[in-house]
Amino acid sequence: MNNPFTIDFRAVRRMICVVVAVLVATAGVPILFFNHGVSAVQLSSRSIQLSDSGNSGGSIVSGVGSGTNVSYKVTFTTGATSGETHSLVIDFCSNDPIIGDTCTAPTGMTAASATLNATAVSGTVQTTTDNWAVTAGASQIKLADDGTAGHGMAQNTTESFVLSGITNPSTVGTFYARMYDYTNNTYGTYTNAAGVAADNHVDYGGIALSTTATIQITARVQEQLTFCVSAADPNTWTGTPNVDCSDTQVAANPPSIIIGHGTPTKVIDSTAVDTANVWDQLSTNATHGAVINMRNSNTTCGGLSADNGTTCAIPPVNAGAGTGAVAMSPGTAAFGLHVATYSVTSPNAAQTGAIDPTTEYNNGANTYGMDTTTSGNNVESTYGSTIANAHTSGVTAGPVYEADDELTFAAGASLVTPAGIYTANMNLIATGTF
Amino acid sequence: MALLIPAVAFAGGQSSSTHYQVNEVFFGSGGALNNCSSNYCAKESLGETAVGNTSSANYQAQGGFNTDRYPYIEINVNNTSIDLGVLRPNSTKTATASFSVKAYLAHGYEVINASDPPTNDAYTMQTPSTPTASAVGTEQFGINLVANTSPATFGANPVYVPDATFSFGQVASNYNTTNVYMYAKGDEIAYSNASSSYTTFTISYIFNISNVTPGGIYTMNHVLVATGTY
Repeated sequence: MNNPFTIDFRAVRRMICVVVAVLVATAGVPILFFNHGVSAVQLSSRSIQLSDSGNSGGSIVSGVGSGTNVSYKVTFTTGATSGETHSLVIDFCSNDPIIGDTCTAPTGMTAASATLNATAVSGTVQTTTDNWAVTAGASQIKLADDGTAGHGMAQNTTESFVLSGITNPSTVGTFYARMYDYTNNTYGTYTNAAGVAADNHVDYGGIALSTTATIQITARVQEQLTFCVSAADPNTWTGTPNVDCSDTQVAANPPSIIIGHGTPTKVIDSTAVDTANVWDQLSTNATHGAVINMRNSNTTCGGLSADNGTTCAIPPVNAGAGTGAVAMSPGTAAFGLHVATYSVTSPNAAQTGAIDPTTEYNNGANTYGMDTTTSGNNVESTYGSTIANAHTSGVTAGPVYEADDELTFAAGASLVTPAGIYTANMNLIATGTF
Repeated sequence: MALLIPAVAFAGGQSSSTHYQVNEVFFGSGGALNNCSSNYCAKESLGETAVGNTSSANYQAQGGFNTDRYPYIEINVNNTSIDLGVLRPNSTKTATASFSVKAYLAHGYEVINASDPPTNDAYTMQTPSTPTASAVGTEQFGINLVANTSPATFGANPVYVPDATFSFGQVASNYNTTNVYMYAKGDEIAYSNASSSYTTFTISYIFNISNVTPGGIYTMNHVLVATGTY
């Protein structure tokens, strides 16, 4: 009697054990399978970077944080054996990134005005050279080249390109993009997002993105301007930590000066041009700098007067011309001012900029001016004559800090200048442009 | 001989026909998809032997019966309005803001500064280009994402939710050193190299002005962009 067959139970047991072992080993690790065509592969290393994560339609209506005019930098690597593909569809969905699921358009999002970069960050998806073009809708962007071999996306290649002019969703939170590419430049058999699982895409991939609230920061810097005039040399100011207008020397030495020579009483005469100094200091954060103007209380004659401004027997130098400071000579009755920047011996480390004299008041060493003629800008006009401008550096108008000037007032008399006490109140005005 | 086959779980992918689809299928020891009380719902399974993320250099998988097939990234900003009041050249103003990031089924994420520094019309506050200590009287706007003791005790190191075995966010270099600050638009300030549960980051801001910092109202919409790689 023959046994019609034999069964090797050892072999069967081994096979069963192997099957069981495989089942047990895989029991705790469910692998996610997507239902795609046999040859479709995932785009790898895929991401979409936003230039602005703000949601649209919020309190920020323009600029960064508004969620409008946003650029999306799309990056991925095509499949290793996908071949060249010539079109790409990107669907934006609020519900999920799963290829083939229904796709709900994100609320408030519109990509209808999206434009493609002229030159890709990497790869060929660009309007120049490879002639890719955009067809965009509210929540979908289609990209296609001109169908020319070599213009498409090569396999196993990193593509990175920028789409601009997109409006983010108006909701805060996660939304998704689904991407699929096709061999031809007419999007293969794509119909809609839900039908992609059944179409002939070559590569695919889902991406999650997120809008979020914007951190809105506000801070205030007060406009500042500090200006003082003193008869004390700033080198004698001794306040700490800063040598500035708050120094006690400033208040203790008001800018009251007597021009002349001799003792016990100083006089001016035809033998000399006498001078006396005061100093000013300016600190301001005015973005566009500042000017210092000067007005003479003798508004009808602009010089020194012995009759309360009715006449100026010591007239402004050079007849008040505003054409540039000039030298003064003994024996000629004249009153003038020379302005010069002044550097202290030990400046504050924070000292910034300078207040540079105008040429009407400094046209070289020992030159003087007292402008009474420049229309609207002279010592007799409402706002006075500009004697200096604040410069942060060089000739660039801007903020200055603890910038000093030395103001040298000069006067001389002629042989026929009437005797008397000649006075003028010179008012200095600093004006910042913020 | 008795052949015993234990109650194993077979995990299969999504199955679909023309009109129907079944997701995340398993046959296991027991479970429920949507058990709810008045206020809470739960998805449960019994008999899992291993859960969580497993990865190699090029691949990763989420183990367990209760997995989700949706990759996602989420960033939440936890405070959105900072008003510093008046800045003065003789003192430093500080502030903090926090944000949380998580990413799932991702190879990681990065968070970048997407905004210019504070501006006053056309004027932009100066910022250190390298991590720099705060200096009173020197115009500076800078940030870091760690705990600090200078110029004040403020800020915090990253917080991992629920703990560091599930959350892997890191502070980027240039922003991860205590007591030094910088700011550059486009800089990466935080990242993770893998899927991660929530990491809460705290941004520490410093504001210093000089005597010549232009007057006006300085504003900044600090936009943070989180990008996941899948």
